Amino acid sequence: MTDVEPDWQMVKSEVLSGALKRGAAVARVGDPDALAAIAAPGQAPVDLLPQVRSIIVLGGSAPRAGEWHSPRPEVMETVGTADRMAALGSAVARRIEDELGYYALNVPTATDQDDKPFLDFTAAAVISGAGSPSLAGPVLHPEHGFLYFTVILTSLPLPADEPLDAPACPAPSCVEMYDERGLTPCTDVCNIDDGGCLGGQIQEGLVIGRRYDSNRCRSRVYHYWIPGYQAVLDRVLSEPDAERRKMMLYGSYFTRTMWSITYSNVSQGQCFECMRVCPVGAEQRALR
Amino acid sequence: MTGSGQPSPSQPARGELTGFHVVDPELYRQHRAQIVRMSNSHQVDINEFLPDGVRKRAMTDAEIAERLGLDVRDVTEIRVVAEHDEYPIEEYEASARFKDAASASYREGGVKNLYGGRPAPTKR
Repeated sequence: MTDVEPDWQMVKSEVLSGALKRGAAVARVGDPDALAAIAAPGQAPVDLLPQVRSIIVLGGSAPRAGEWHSPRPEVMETVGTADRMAALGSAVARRIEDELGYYALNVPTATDQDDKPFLDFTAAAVISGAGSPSLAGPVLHPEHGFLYFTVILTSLPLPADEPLDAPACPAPSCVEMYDERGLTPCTDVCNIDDGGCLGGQIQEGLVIGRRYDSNRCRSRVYHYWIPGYQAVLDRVLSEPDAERRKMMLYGSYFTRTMWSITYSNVSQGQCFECMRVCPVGAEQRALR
Repeated sequence: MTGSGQPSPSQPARGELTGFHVVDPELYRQHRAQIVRMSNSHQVDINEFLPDGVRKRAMTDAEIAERLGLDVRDVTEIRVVAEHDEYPIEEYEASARFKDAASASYREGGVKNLYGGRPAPTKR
């Protein structure tokens, strides 16, 4: 008696629909070899799970429309709920192992040994067609726009999806704006040549010459978090006056930073200004 | 580091990479700007949908170490310290003004940069 080969398309459909029912907005499967081909050395899926045969990419948990429309940027500073997708990824991985008997590893969203990610989530989303990179940086889904992602590596041999036919960025309205002004909404609001993080051109519908100052972006995205904490400590430890040290440590900036770190599950991203103005997925953020 | 993630004979073992390695400040000063330029800190044309020949992947720490003839642990430390050292606390403080201006700009119906880099951003 021989084992009957499962219908892998059906298995894929069941795994992905389970994730969609549990809150994912997007669920796709990617080919690990396709990711390995564009990954930096040491960041291939096989480096994390030697048995990997499929990559499951789940996107979702976008901020609510009301949060996008709040006049207080501090609201958006405290709704970076990437951990909800990480929890969903863990649940999917557990189901694959418990019910199907295949290895499944939910890629950690924390930093690796060298302050780098364990895996290039943008590249994983791109090769699976879960979205495409943007001029601003975050992966954009053509319908949903900005999403958080989680990536599961598994030994399940699922049929892979293809990348998107065309990138979600630049949107047609951004191409029009660029043709008129030489700027897009994101490069207008956070221009690298004007104290911001982003720059680039659009040529034949493609973003080229994209420039991104990740260190300045860090000061905004992790404004009241680990890098801000380190920057304050740097100043405190070199301050000779004990009373001034006290003012720095007990002051409002350091206090809010400590609260943010404590509530780290809702403080994963603290700047959304390039995404607030992005037209991709804007209809999802427009309510009554 | 090899493509499989295993250290090559000339590179330290994984446990050493994860350890508390303090880079020599003089070595940091000497190579800081060069390493930041070669790493992912200031990205140009890294997007995955760009055609071959246009897309430029940043160099890994191991690749930078090989190019400069340095220990990979020193390269990693110089890069991580430099990434945090580029902007002092004043830039974080300016960040709050940027967000206020950007969200106000959006609320007023325009997509224009009311911040305009003022006050001028600081940089070490």
